[in-house]
Amino acid sequence: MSDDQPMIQRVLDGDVEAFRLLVVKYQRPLVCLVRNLVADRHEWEDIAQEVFLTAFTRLRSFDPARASFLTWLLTIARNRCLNARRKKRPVPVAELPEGADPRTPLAQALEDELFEQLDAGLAGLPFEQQTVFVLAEIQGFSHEEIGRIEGVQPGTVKSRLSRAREKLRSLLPWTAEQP
Amino acid sequence: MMSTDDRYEQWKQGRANVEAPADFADRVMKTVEQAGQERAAAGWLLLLLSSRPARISVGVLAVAVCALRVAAVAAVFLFPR
Repeated sequence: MSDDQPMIQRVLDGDVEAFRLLVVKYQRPLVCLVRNLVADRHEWEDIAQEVFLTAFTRLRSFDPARASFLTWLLTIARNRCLNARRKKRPVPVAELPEGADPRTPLAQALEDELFEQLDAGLAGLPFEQQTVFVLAEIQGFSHEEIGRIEGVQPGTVKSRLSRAREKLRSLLPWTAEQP
Repeated sequence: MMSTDDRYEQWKQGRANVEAPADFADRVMKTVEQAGQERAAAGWLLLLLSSRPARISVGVLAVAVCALRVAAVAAVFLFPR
């Protein structure tokens, strides 16, 4: 986004406080991505802060001709989340919940259960499918933008998204009811 | 009762409705300012060491301090009280 360039230039010229404008402008999409990729509250807050700090220290390497500031920021965030996930034990597919039980008596209980299953299903997706799903379905980014963040072609984004949707939809009750 | 698709959309909306903590920007700026100060300090050091006369001066000063220290240790043995 070219309207970020004056703010970025001020920061590069030594006006550290100008960086606050960028933080305030982009904290929501950044926190949304990190929050959806990292479950632990303390961990996602630390990662989100580190991402902004990295952006500040590497601001000189940002090239507006290659990507928008937000795309660049989310690329840093994606890589940080991947590193954090590698340090943790991966969730084996066998631990993922099976299809929802349509016989749960109360609608509210069913809804809570469904949401928990979807949360677990999202957390259990392979990282590349998880990020693509969050960026596309939850944050509404285009396949081209996601491709720039992930460093892949839009066609790859589309196929990853399709697999992620398929896995999550398999957790929905109407799917479980089908023979 | 809501359909499964509606609940699925509701779940996605819930995941999208994430707000940064109220003091998030302040905390980020605190770490950024610290990093800025450290970078400024490192900048001074780099500036100092980028000049040849400055490097020679620093080297001479370090050698002088080292020589004085060696002399002080040697004096303990050479001129016992």
